[in-house]
Amino acid sequence: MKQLIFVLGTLLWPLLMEAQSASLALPMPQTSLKAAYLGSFVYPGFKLGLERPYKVIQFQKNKKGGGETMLKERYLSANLGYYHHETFHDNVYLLLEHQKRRQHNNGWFLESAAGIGFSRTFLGGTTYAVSEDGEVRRKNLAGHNYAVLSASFGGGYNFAIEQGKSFKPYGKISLLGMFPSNSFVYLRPTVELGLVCAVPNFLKANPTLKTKQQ
Amino acid sequence: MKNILLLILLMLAFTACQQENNELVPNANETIYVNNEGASMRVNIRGNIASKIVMLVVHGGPGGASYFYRTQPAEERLERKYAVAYWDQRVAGASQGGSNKGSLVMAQYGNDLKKIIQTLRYKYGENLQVFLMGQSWGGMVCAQFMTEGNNQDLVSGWISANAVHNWGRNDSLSRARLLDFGTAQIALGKNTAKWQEIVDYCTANVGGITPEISAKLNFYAYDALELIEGFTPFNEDEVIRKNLISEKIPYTNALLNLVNPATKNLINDLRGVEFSSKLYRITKPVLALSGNYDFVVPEGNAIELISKVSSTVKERKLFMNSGHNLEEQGAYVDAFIKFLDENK
Repeated sequence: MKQLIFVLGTLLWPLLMEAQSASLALPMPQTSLKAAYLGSFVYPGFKLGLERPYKVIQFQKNKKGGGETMLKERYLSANLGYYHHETFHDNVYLLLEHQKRRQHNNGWFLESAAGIGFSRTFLGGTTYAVSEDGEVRRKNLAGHNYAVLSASFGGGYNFAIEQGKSFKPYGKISLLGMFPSNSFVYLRPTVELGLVCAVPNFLKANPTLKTKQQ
Repeated sequence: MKNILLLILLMLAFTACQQENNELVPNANETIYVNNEGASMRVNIRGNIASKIVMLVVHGGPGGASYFYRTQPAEERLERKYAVAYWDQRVAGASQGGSNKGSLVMAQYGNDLKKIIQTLRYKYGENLQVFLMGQSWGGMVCAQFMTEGNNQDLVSGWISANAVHNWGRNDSLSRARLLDFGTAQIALGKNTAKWQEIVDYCTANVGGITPEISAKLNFYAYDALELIEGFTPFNEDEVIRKNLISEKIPYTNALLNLVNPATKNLINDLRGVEFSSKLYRITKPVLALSGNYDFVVPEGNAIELISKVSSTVKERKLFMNSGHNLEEQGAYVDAFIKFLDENK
């Protein structure tokens, strides 16, 4: 129990911290909700989540013909994912992700995330169990529980930069690793197309801010 | 509100009725799972289940998949007349599970097979006739099942297609076949360098066969198939590529099951497992098929199987232009149909 409190405390501490006040050249990221279509090969699904920034680093990148101000944004996000693979399984999973986003001043951003979570699958067909006496019975909601590790990479466009709109369409590819699957691992690639929307005054974030020169 | 509830109830009732009516149809396509000892095993029932006769595929491996066996002749000829149950064994194909490494023992596979048959009979009626078709490692699973207690009463016959029932003896048969065939090929001046390498290896390892030698012989047995003029080995990748979407194959699951380290441990444990001494218990009809170019599970397996079972109905057939993976697909399917016709 103590270990659980320590892990949760470590994860949530940045969210509870007060931010340093400083001025930013680009809009400060906010707590946002996100919703996405999730495709796993040709199998459909969705992903819903919440992302909350806890740290922002503003830096100047010097280039020929002038410099560019960029933000390195760090988020913690919680997500609920689902996909349906007919005749194989339906998979519902919860993911806590540590997300890194590099926001350019033209609105485009790149991001990567690493996550840990829990998955519950539901088998893709009527499931039976047979006793040693040969008695057959149906099993409802049969499936398996797995631990999940994930890695993802993608990018999108932040309409807040040039148009003042608080949403960001994005796309990313992910690899889910579920284990122990048959005493080994099951890998599942997914593609995600979605929208991140900042909701005013919702779980208002106060990320710590640093500035540096590159 | 009441109308909506009524509509939902009617839709549910209609769906339920549809499912029941679909059970005994001439063109079944249903996927079920059977849970046993930490594994959820996929069974896809295809074809004419209205015939009340099903051929149950017991695939190779361990760790293979039943997807490879749904070839065009199987689909067009076998499934039109009878049903085929494509079973993915534990830690194979689309089968799923958690931490189940401890269950990867020979006896468990026999127990799994029994429960698959019991489920099929529960689902389609106790008068359902089940024929086993075990290929390669599937022969070990069938032999485990058939030689235990009264299990064979649950089936109407056993087709052993390029299958093994004595793991250790098969290594010796494989080595002898590679040595004989390779020596003849060298004499004919065909692919002499590669055949010489194989022959040298077989000659140098005439003593006890260790797991390393067994693995190397298996590697050479597949290599040898590429050396035969005018012979094209069965392309498993092509079957997967062709059916990936239409059969909804969970590719990464099947692939990771194929290379699962737990399965490798099972293979090492199989060295001392044999059913030669128990085959006399079998009284059901048996058909033993072999491929002339099968260096992985050579014809010697089928010869011993037929000589040792007590069945009054037993037959052996050699396919002259086949290797290990039933390359003459049409001819193999015809042999399956003939056996089912004669013994149903």
